[in-house]
Amino acid sequence: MGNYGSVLWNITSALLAIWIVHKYLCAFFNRRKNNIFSVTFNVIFILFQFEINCHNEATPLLVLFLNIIFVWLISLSGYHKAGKSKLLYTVLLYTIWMLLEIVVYFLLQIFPVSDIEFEILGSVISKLFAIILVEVIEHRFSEFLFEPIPIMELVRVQLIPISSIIIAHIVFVDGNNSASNLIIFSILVLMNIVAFEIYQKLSNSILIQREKVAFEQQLYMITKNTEEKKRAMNLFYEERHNLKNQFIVIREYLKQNKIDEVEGMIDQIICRTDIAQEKVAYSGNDIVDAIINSKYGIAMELDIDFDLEIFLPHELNIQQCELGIILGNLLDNAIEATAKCNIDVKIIYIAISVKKQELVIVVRNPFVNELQRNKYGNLMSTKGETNHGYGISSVRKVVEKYQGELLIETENNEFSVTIIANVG
Amino acid sequence: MINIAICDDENVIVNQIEEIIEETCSEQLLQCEIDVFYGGKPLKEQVVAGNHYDIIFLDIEMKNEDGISAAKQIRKVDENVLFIFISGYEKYLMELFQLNVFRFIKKPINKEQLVKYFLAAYQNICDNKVYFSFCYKSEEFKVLIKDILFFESSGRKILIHLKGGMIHDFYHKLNDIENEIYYSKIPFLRIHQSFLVNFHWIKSRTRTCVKMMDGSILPISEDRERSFRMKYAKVLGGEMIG
Repeated sequence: MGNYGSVLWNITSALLAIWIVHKYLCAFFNRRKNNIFSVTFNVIFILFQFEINCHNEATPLLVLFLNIIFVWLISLSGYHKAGKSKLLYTVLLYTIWMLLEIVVYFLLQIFPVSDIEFEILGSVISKLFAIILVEVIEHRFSEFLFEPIPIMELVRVQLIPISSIIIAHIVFVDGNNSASNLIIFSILVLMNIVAFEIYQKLSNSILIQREKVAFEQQLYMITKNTEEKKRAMNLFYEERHNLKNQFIVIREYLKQNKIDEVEGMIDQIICRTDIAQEKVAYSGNDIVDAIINSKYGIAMELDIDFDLEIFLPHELNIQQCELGIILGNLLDNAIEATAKCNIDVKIIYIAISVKKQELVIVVRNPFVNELQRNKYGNLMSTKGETNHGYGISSVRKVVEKYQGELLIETENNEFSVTIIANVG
Repeated sequence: MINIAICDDENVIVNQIEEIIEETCSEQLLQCEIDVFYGGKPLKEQVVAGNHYDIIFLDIEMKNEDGISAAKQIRKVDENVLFIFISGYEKYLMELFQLNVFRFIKKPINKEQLVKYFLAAYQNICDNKVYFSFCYKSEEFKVLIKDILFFESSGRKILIHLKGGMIHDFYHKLNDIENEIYYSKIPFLRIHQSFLVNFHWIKSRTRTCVKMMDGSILPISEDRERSFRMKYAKVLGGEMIG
């Protein structure tokens, strides 16, 4: 074959290497737009691969280490998401690849081939294996989304491929080409593939845990909703019952021709209707009105009044349930905090409008307790350890969706929440 | 001296508002002149003809959307006038909210609320009379801050983009301007290392850029994204109260 064949193969091999790397990375991450870093690292990697193919003398450990670093840099610059898990994937890839090469090396020892042919054959076969492996990975693993897992777990899982590399090197350096070594390497390969599975299951379980939390949140909101409806219905039935009684009395008065009393009774009914009216919001937007009126009922029972300055268009570019989450949670918190205050006049101030294509919501209420902040500086929940207290974080999620912001300020015993959401 | 227009097809409302404003002005020793209209068309004609008002109380529930169409026409001619819309119980379209409305007030009119809004409008007008001065080539220039759309830094120079498209330049640092202008009541937001933007001229924003009312689109730098959003929220929220 001669030199040209060799050189040609070296180039092809280098290009194949980068193709394998990208195929592997694509299985787990999304590509970013090409930038100067990713192009640079890719080129360096290709040149590096070409170099080590031409000169085979470099120590395997150094080559391995450099390979891992380059591929990690390629993944950081060319793909989105977590840098820590990228390191893990890179190490895993190279462990398995290296082990494959060793397996191939041993297998080839069985066949009588010249040195040069040995090199090239070994290179070809191990690349083939690598391609098959990456294809398998792409098909099997690409369906799963990997959630970031805590760093301690990540480190622990990293130990598997790292220790495999160490073991492989010790055994390899030993020089014995026995069948038992072959078995050792095969086991190491399998072990690393299993490491993939473990990582995947781990992140899966974290995903499930998160879903569970979201589910509990929903249960809580629905329960609250149902309670409010029940209250409103009960009030309605009570009023109707009272009305019926009043009509019975009116009928009696009519029979007895007591017209003045009848008039008095009717005035009473009219008056009562006005007072029992729980409709307080006329913002122009039905959904917002419904939410505010619903919360107003509860507030009234706790002697809390609403001061409203709400002007909205008939239709807003935000979903009903999202509005419900934001307003519902803000008002629940405001009502809870105000109820705890020991002041004569309890008023919650609510202002909502649309300015500069943003939905702007301001809720202000008095409060007494010391606010507790957790170690990240975020306000801690006032509810117990269990299922409640996801109000503000749900609101944050919705607000983030609309590129908005949630601002909390406390001044003079007054708690103020401002929300903006892009509805333009 | 500020010019006020009241436009409503109901005589009762017009009188009520006029009385309250006059009372407030005499109490607070403010100078104002009030013109009264009973329909959108006459008001529109006056404004288009060049009669400038600082505050317009406008009923948006007059017949044939008279008030709304007048508001739209007026806004085209005058970007600065403060609208205080008088509304009833109807449903409104989003386009009404794109006219940069100062406040809404519902019928029946609550006296306290009207006074509160009127004084806020008056304060707004006074705050807008502040000037920004700078030196260039030994000459001193003065511009109304409310006419400044944004400051842009380019090399060692600062470019002031003004209403009407004019651009002045002078030597200064954007950080220093940011500090100086903090003392005026008009909020300026640092969206980028090179851009300092007048809040009132912002039309809308996305995560990565800000659209101004004259059509220019300015970038928001990644590291200032969060702080810009928080300040923007604070100013927007502040506009709602009082």
